[in-house]
Amino acid sequence: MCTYDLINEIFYFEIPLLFRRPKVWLRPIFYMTDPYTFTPLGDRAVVIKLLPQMSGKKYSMSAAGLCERIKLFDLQGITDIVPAFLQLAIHYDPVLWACVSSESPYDAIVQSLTERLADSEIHSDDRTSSLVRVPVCYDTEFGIDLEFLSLKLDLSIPDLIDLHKSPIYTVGAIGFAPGFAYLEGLNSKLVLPRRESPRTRVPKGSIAIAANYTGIYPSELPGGWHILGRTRTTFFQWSDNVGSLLAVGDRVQFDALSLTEFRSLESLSVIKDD
Amino acid sequence: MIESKCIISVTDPGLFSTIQDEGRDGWQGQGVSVSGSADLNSMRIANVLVGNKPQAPVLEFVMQGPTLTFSEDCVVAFCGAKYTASISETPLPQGRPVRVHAGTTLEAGRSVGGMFGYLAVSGGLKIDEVMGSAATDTNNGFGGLEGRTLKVGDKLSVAKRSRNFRNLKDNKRYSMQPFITTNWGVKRFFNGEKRLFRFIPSLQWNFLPNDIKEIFLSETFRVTSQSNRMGVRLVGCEINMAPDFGEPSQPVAMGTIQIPPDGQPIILSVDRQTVGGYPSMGVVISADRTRFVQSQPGASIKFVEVSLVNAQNALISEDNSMKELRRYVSDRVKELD
Repeated sequence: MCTYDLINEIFYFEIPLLFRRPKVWLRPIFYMTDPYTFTPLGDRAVVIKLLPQMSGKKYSMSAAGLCERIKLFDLQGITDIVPAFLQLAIHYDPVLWACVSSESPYDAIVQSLTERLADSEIHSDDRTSSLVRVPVCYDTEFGIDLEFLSLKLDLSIPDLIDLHKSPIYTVGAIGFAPGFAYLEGLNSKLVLPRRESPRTRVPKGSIAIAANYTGIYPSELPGGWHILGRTRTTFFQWSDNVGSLLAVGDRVQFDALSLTEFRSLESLSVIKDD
Repeated sequence: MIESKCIISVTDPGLFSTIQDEGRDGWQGQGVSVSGSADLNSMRIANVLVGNKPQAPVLEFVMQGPTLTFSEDCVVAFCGAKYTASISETPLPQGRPVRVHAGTTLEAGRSVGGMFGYLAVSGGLKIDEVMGSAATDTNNGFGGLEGRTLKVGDKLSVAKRSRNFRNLKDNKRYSMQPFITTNWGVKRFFNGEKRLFRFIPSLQWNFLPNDIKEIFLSETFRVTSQSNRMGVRLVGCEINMAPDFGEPSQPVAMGTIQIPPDGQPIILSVDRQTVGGYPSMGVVISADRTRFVQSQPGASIKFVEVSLVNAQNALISEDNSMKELRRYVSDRVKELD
């Protein structure tokens, strides 16, 4: 308690403990009203960690929302921004952030981000993220693990497919490979660990599940996830700097296709409607 | 003065030779690895030695280098790990601009100290950029030469000549040799002795039981032959992390020390994935990057904790001395015109 600060002391007395805002130098790392904390990731990156209870409520406080806001600051010396679930890594060039007024480049970037995030106006809270519809063929020809999952989870294959295609998923992270999206929102009845021995080749376009996630294989890759079906949508394109179809924060819904419908499609272009 | 483009044909691709530059920034949010040269310092100085911009595309090779035939005169520089490099059986000096004559063959040989070698060609290799970089990502098959390693018969051409190196001739010491070089050069940036890697602890580190921390800090690990551009793999006393220490997937960086379920640490390198699910001890500091990527299989290494402030001070002072060296070399190279 800062006894010399009488006014503050009296002021504090009247508000509940939780909402007191101590002086900056007194603030612990996990101060209750701060929706995020900063942690160094080596000497060239800083991670913003979001508190789980805050992130679901406002888009601007989600990893995707923060990523979007920080990009708008257009700060020199930030080389990459990587959102992943409840975290956001900001890769920076410490040489460009070195200045006399801060003890370290890390302090300088954290201070700059803290100030800008507090000052920046939030226009994005009423914004809904893009909904991407992905046509999927859940036939056992492509869904090579459907039968195994049906036995393991004690669900019929049609029930299993229904449980998988009904939710609207949210992209939590993109990683593992270019454009590989980790979708959150899997029905808890479908949660099970990944395969004990991973496959050396999972076909391009495979829709698969493991733990709490649904994943889409944007190219042929090794993988240990359980495969439910296949899509012909292109999820990553390196030509012309197109990159990933999905971004963290996007919503995804699967539409079931019959085998004949799937065969009649060459490559379906997906409409990304805002 | 050389005006036409230099053509290099690959007669032996070596073990794992790729085109690299400073890497692909700005795409990690979409799952794209940074890639680029493992040993950035050596790659940049190789470029400066031949009058290129430090970030120009170069040839990177590991353990066993390529054999290249030059169809025209051209100036090259060989930097990085120590290799048994030669031209027409005459040992090729490293860290210097070297004028190679048309029709001669450069054999990079094998490494005899360190891992990665770099060959820069005056003008810079002509490579189409993918997402802002010429770097090869072999895991995902794009960048560089169709996203793959070099193969026999590949032809490499040079983008643009900026210098003509008129004075790079008639050096007393080397005039009888199948190439011409300077009487000065740049020394290697690393040696095989100092094997203490400084790291900045992760948040998870602070919650680890003391006995695990002690094992990790006191153990001498060995670099294994499974090491590659994705990571430097170590073997030593097993680090038993509680499985619940792993978060679903968290961002990683160059130098992140991961502990997979087998308890043997991996130091993530240039071709690392953008997020990782394994628990992390911390991140090896940037100032030790050259030494950790250049660690050969069998090398013994130890980790030591360092504060972020010290790490960034070391990084800035290394950056300053490298910039100063590049300025100095660049001035010397200008004198060769």
